[in-house]
Amino acid sequence: MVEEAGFLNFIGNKNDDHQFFERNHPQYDQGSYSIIYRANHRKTLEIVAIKQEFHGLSRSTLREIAALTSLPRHPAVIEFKEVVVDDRDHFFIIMEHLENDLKRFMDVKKKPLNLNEVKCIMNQFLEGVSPKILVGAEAYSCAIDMWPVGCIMAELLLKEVLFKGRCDLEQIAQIYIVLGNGEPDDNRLMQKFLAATSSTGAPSVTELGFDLLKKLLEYDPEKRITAEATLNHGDISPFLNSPSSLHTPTALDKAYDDYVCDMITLAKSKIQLSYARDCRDSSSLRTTFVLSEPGTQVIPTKPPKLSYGDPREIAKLDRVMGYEASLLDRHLGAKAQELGHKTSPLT
Amino acid sequence: AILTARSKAASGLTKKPKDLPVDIDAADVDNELQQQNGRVQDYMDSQPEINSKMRSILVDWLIEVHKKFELVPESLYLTINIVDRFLSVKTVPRRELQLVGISSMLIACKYEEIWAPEVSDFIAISDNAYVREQVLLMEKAILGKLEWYLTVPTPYVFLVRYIKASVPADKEMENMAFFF
Repeated sequence: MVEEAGFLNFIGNKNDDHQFFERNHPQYDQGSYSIIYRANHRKTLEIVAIKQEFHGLSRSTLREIAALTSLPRHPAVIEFKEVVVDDRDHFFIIMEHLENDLKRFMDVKKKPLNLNEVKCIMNQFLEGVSPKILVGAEAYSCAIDMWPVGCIMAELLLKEVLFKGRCDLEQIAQIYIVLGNGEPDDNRLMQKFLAATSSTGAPSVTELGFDLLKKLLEYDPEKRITAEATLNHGDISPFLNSPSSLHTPTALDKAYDDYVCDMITLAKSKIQLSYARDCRDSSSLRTTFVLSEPGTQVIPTKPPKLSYGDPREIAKLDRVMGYEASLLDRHLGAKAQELGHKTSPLT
Repeated sequence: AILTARSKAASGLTKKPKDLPVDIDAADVDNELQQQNGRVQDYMDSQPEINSKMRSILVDWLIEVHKKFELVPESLYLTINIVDRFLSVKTVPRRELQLVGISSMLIACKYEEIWAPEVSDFIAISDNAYVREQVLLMEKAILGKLEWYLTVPTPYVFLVRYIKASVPADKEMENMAFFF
């Protein structure tokens, strides 16, 4: 962990003018495995956001940088400036500084967002993931994108993360706990909303809104509601083309350029595969819902001590959630053999 | 280019052709999807201590490591792409060639694999020829030189497609296509 008055007041190599930034704000935001500072360039005084990793270069950071460097500039995508490497073992990602993001917006708001705010934000998300705009994108990846939309919607309404797991297996367990085994009785999800309402005075989700949420958090990607259908859903459609009730970045309201969107989808699919560098523990099965918690990722620092569930169940879950089961196949196979199954559950 | 360079090296044909080959990518010069900064160049002449024989030995060894670690095919192709692009822009002493190899594979694994081997695994498999700091330093050097440009098309996806489209493929033919 970095100390407040530690060496990080200066970032980069001191004898290198070009790569030298000065911290101008105490610790800004901290994820489980990285820390974000606000800083300014020594010469130009340009304000930037700097993300530093605690330990070396993790896979998710490598993929994040690779994805950001391969994306063309676009107002709706955070601008990546450069990577600075210091004399020690530190990597710094220099990015455009945004005064507000959704996470901060929610932190500033004392209460959970009201329904109109939620709908307005949802509408902006949906413009981003609508297959109507994503020409050529596979339905498969779109279905994947809709799941986190559901997670975000729930988080906006509850002001807390819907599936709180410290590692992937725990995350899957949480999903089971909240959503059950996919059978129609889903009062547990409703209970979560009723509990939030009673304790904090949050706006209760409407029946229509809950219906939409259920359709977004559908296990089977084939049955999951599409972005287009969501825009036409009774809960959201009244907000289409209506003036925003929030002050929000106008860039997000603009129509996406097809090509850029394609690139984003590609990058996203790579990022979504950025399974946490965590459990070398062979019993863990990784599936990170990267977008379920904007701005942060659930990364365990230690290999979790968790018992391994039925591999077939988890494989099934993975498959229905639209993850690349083939990538998991090999590891499931090894695990299955350990557990006495002859072949991988997926084959 | 990688595969032909390798097969040439394997059969000892290292003499360069007199005429420059036709640039088949000329028509795509304005296409923004064209790979700009990721091109592999013929770098052997610029490497005083390395020749194509050494490269082919390195690649053979990397294939073995790849098999030993049970990595996905994409990782191998990306590894070789990274090695070649790095050697195109940086002169490397002979004793560091293997270091370039394992560091490239470390990067490729972080990019492609779900369960990537760790630095210590790579050090162990190269029989402690290098220490951890050297690997991390080389990793930084490679990423810096390549400007973090790792999203590249490798021959693998094309080979898979062509094999699928060709006559009923047998394992031997696949391996010939993938590894020769």
